[in-house]
Amino acid sequence: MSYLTLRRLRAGFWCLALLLSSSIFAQVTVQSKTLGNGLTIYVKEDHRAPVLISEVWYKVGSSYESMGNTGISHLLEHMMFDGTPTYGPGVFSRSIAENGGQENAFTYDDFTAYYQELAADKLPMAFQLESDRMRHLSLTPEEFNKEIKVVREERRWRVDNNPLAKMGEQFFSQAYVALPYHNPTVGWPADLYNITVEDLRAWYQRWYAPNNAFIVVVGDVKADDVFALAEKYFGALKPMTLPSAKPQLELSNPGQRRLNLKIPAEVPVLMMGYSAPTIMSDKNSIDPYALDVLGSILAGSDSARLQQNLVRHQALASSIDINYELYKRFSSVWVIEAVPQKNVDINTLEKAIRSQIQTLQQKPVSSEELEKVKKNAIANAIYQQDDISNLAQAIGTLTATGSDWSELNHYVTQIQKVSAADVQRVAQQYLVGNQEIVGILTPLPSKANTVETPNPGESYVH
Amino acid sequence: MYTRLLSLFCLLFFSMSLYATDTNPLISIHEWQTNNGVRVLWVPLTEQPIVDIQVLFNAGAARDGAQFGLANLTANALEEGTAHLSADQIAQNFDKVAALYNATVGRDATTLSLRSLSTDDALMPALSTFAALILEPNFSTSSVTRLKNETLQAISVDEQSPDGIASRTFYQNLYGTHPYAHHPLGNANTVSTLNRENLQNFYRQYYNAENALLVIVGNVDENKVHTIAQQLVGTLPKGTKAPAIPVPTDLSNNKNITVPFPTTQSSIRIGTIGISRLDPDFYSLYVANYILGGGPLVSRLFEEVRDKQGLTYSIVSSFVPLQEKGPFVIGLQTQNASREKAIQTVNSTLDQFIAQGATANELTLAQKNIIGSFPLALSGNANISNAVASIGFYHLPLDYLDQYRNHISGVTLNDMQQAINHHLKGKSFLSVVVTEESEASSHG
Repeated sequence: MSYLTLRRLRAGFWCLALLLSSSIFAQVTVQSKTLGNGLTIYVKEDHRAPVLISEVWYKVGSSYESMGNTGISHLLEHMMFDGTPTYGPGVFSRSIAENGGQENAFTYDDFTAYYQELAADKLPMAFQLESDRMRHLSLTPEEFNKEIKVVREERRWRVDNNPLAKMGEQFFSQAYVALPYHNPTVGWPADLYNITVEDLRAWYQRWYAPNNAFIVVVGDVKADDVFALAEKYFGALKPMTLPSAKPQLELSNPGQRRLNLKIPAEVPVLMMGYSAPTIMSDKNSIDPYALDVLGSILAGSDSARLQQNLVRHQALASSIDINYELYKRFSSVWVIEAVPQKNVDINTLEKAIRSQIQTLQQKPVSSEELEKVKKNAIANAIYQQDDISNLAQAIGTLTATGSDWSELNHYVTQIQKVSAADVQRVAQQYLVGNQEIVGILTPLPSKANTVETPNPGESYVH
Repeated sequence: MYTRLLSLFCLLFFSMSLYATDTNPLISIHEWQTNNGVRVLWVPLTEQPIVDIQVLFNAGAARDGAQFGLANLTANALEEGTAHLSADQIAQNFDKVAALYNATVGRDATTLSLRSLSTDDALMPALSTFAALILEPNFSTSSVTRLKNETLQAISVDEQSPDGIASRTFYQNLYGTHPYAHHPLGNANTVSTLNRENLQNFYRQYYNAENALLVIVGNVDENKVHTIAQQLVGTLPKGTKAPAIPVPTDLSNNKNITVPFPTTQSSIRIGTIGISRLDPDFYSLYVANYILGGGPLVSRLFEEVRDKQGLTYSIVSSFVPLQEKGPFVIGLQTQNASREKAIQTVNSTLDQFIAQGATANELTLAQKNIIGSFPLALSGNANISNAVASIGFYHLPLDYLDQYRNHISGVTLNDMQQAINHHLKGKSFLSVVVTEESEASSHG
């Protein structure tokens, strides 16, 4: 019951929040079937262990929301655990637990998804429960009044009490000018006090239907058995008329922007972002892949340029990462996120990064660097197949954003095609001033002091 | 760097949730010792062209002495240079063959891990670099200085969130002068004083055959696996076994700590000294804790604090079993205004559970979940590697995975109540609340 925090620096403790650009797989084969009501089921068989993951995805998330209603998709995701007329509040989770399952859900800008990890013979139980809540959610005021408080606590915990997340939220709200990715998935604080249970009912009615959903199952199953089960449990659900999807485009020249955020914190942060295409906003182009390669060469691993030069040689940064999602419904932002080394001026770090970008614009990358990135793309595809939940997440993300699972294989092929000239060209074309936003978090003092009660004799050493 | 620590936490967590199915061994673990006495555990898995290798040393942060952060800094400095390779060369060598190297330091263990493709052209170069940084790190002064600064930044990141502060404060006040008291990263004062000689001494004292364990999981055959073991750890000096960790002492009185912090949401920890990994009550308490606050979305604490009142997003209780007694801890966050209500609810739920225990129905449901979800913890090479590393490090029997289901299904209501009486009843508890200063005065 959370939302994906891909926008967070070092999102290491959210196990599903792997950037898709690094989680693609070689020659994956997925079988699929579409039911009469429009629900499509994707199955990847993996018979190594007697387990499966089953995920129901809905094509709705924070990028579908309007101002005043931000966070409603994520809030609805929470309410999905709070009961139907057939299965009351809490029954869903207790049933999954009793059957030895692990479950949760996640919401992001382009999708909402619910998953269960189960022993391979437990799929019917999961399908029965999921089909029930796809169309029959209770959405009572009592449950809503409790759940809205939980979501406010979630926001305080993930964003308001985490300076890096807060910085990310405000950075992306300005990085996206004309796109709905402007809004945070958890919602703006005021909206979490104004959304009503009636709003949620309308949202649920509008988007939760078999023809706006799809299912991904990965694990020790036979595809035909899964298709038959899906027909049995979901086949009778009626499709709905869906709102027409309107195209949305980022401004071609949003202009150079600078965000100076001063909040209580201990560590400064530098973010440098550039409006960039995705495979959906720039179809059949090599550019998203070239930008992905560019990110890997700059900061994708310990031997990347920024790690070698700015982290190790010059000791200007204590960490540097690239955040670029090339799988979204609309276009994206290519971002460098850096924490300066202790006692290093953040402007010095910014200048050094700019100089590295200039080098990439002026000189083609070496064939060794390019080969290394290509080899790693293939290896990562193999490594990622070790984990069925990563694979399900990748298949789901691609489908929800308008592509499909074949992109898992296509990605590896496209990366192999990227040339040094492509990398240089995209550096020149996209990493430019009028596409740029720079964000700087400057810490204000927040040092904690400690008071002990009721044993004043003992002291606390910080 | 802080993410590395979190991944070790994941390892320990998974180590608690392993158990067996059916009659055949779930996975076959092969065991032997190298000539210098390093224990090796090997699990051949041929479905994926991957090898996962872990080298564990009994050299966690509990070995820091007064130099908090020393174990962590030593482990992180390994990849910064060896007798013949620079940090750049090490990074290049791994990246060129798409091998993934990582070092993690928890309170008990230092874990060095490598994931590589199993083809010779990738695995051989990766192993050679991995061996070099295990066996001949040079701890250059310049890299130590830089890593110290990186660690100071990681500590600062920890200290800018109420959760980070609450967790540090909890361990410090629960463990006092015990070596589990400090965070593996150390603190700003201690890290600032560390130097190259400290790291070299720590490495010489603890990175030896007596303290080492090697785990190899994946697509390697028997001939190759012996060569790998010899190459990685076969020439480690015999050395001296790290002494036993002292037994932590219980708190003598209940203790309430308030840390003022500018925040709208308080972070809360409530707990006491728990159990070691080899405690005979491990299984009883694992099931009991699942019922109290370990079961995600279905526990008593989740129901009382979140489901009924909406006071928190996350509430979890856990026993963290270490070589010696790790903590029992309940963690949650709530807006400052509902702080007292949340603490009262936690305390009354806990008190009732300690006094009356679980119901037969709760026990059955807990056993069904723990046993039923067992195969999930062993799906994929990475999970298997972590499970086997835990078995090896904590000296659990090699048939541990096969026996786990029996152990869990054998737990009775009486077992749980006895274990609760022994480990929680009548104990002094510590409560830590990180909260807004102006609103903090009423706590306690």
